[in-house]
Amino acid sequence: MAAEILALFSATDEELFDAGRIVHTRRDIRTVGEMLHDADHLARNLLIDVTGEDAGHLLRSWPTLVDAASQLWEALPGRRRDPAQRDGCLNRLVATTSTFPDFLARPGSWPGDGPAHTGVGQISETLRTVGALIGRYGTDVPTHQSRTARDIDATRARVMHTLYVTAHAITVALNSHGRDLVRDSRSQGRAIPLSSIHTPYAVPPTVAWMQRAARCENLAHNYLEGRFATAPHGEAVRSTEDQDRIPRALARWDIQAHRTLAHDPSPANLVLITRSQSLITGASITLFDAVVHDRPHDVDEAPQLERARPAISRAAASWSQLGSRWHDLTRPSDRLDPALAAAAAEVRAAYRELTRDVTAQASPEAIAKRPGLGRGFAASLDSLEAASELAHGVAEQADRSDLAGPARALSHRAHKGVEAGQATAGLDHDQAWVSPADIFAKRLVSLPSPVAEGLLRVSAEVAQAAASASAVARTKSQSQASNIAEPSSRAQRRLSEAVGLARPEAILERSY
Amino acid sequence: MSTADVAAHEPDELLAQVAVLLDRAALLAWEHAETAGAESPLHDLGLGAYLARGAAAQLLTADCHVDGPEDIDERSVLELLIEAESLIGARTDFTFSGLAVELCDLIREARAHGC
Repeated sequence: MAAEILALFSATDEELFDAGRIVHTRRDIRTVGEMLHDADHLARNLLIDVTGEDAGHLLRSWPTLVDAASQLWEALPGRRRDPAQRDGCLNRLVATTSTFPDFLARPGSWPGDGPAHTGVGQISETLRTVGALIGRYGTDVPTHQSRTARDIDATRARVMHTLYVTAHAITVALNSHGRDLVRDSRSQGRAIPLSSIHTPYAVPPTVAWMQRAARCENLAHNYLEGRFATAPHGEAVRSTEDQDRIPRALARWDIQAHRTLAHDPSPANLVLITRSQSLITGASITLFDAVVHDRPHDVDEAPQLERARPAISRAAASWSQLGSRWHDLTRPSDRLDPALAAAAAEVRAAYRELTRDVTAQASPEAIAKRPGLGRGFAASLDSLEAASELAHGVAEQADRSDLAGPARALSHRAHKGVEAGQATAGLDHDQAWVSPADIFAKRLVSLPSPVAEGLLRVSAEVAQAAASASAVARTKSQSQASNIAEPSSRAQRRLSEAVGLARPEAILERSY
Repeated sequence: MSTADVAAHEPDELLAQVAVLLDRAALLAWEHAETAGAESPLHDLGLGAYLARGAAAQLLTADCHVDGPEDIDERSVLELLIEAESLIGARTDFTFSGLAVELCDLIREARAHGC
C-alpha cells in the first residue's frame, strides 16, 4: 500500500513539474552531502583497485563523469561572484575532455568501443543526481549567508577532488597498461624502447592518452591546490554531538517495523524485526548501567530499577529465541525489505555510536560522558514500552496457515523440540516429522506440528515478556524522564513531542 | 579457492555462496550471544552479519533461490566472514556494492570478540 501511495505522489509530481527536472528519490534517500561523500569515497576505492585492464573502460567513462560534474557545478547557486576564478579550471577541464569522444571513436584506435567502467558510471550517476537535486531545490538556499557560501565552496572542492582522484586513477591505469604491454612484448622477444618523458611505460598507444589524462589531473590539482585542505571545513555537517540519533532511529524503526509487518511479513523480515528488538532491549540495559553510573543521585529508585532489570533481560532473551525460530523458516537467499534493513542498520549504528569504542564495548564510565545518553535512554524506554504492541503483531504471524520452510531445518527443529520435551511427541517416538524425500529434494514444506507448536509458544512468551518490560519501562519512563533528560534539552524535548518525534506512537497515529 | 576460480564464477553463484556464509555467521554469532546474555555485543555482530547477508541476497537475480548448507559447518564466525570477504573482495564488479567494506568491518569486530 505504501508503494502505491508513493507512486501516486510521483505521478502527481510529473503532472505538476517538468518531467526532465524531477528527481526520483523514492529509492535513494541520501542527502546531497552524503552523495558527495559517496562519490569521493568511490573514487578513492577506484584508485586502490585500479589495474591496467581498467584503462580502456576508464577512458570511455571519463567524458560522462566530467559532464555530470559540470552540470552539478552549473546547478550550484551563488555563481555570480568571481565566476572566472572559480569556474576557469572546470571549463578548461570540460574543454580538454571534449576531445575524448572523437579520439575514442576513431576506427582502429585504442581503446576503441567497449563497456564503460562500472564504478565511474556509479560516480557519474551520483553526481548527476546531486546536480538534479540542487537544480530543483537549490534556489531556496540563502546564498548571502557566509555559512552557506562556505558549504557551496566545500561542495565545489569535493566535486573537483572526485575528478582529481579519478583522473589520477586513469593515469595509474594507463601506466599499468603500458607496463603490461612492455612485459608482453619482451616475453615475445620484441623489446619496446621505454619512454624518457612522463613515465618509462608511456608507450604507444597510451602516450597521447597519458598526456590528456595528466592534463586533466593537473587542471583539477590546480583548483584544489591550497584549497582542498581548508574548503571541506566549511561543509554543513550534522553536529557530532547529535543527541537525537537514537530517538530518531527508534522512531523510524517503530514505524517501519509496523509497516513491514503489515505488507511483507516474510520469515526473513520477521527474523530482522525480532533480532533488532532483541538488540534494542539489550542496549537499553547497557544505557541503564551508564545512566546509573553517571547520575546515581538522580536515580532515586535504584533498588526498584535493579528489580526491573530481569524483566528487560527476559524480554531480550525471548525476542532472541523467537528470532531463532523464524530463522528456521528462511533460506539464505530470502530478500529483506530494503526499508526495514535500512531502519535496522540505523538503529544498530546509533547504538554503536553511543556504546562502542571502535570494536569493543565501551565502559559505563565512557558511555556516561557521551552526549545523547539521557535522550537515548529515554527513547529506549519509550521503545520498550511500544514493543509490547509490536510483539502481539509478530505473534499473530505465527498463527498463519501458509507458513513453510526448508525441510532439513524444520526436521531438525522438530526433533530437537520433541527431545527437549517442548513439543508434543507423536505416538511413535521415532516419527519422521518431515519426509526424507522432501529433505533430499530440498523442498519447502509446511510446518510440522512440533515446529508450529514451538513457534506459537515462543511467540506467546515474547508477548508476555514484552508486556512485562513495557510495564516496567512505562513506570521508569514517567519517573526518569524529568531526572535523566538534560536540563538544556527539555525545551527541545517538548518541541520534539510537539512534532511527534519523541513519541513513536504519535507518529504512528499520524502515519496510518 | 584461488582468485582465478572465484573470477570464473557467475555472479549469482558467487553471491549465493556469500549469502550462505553470512547467514551461517549471523546464526552462529547469535548462538554465542544467547549464551553470553542480553547485553552481549555479539547480538550486534549477528545483526550486522544478517544485514550483510540481506545485502548479498539483494544482489541476486530475483529467481535465484539458495538453500542452507547440508553439512554442519564447524567454522567460526571469523572464518566464515573471512571466507565471504575473500569471495567478494576478489571481484571488482562487487567492490562498489559497499558489501566488501561492510565485511571488513565485521571481520575486525569478530576478531576483537575472538569468535
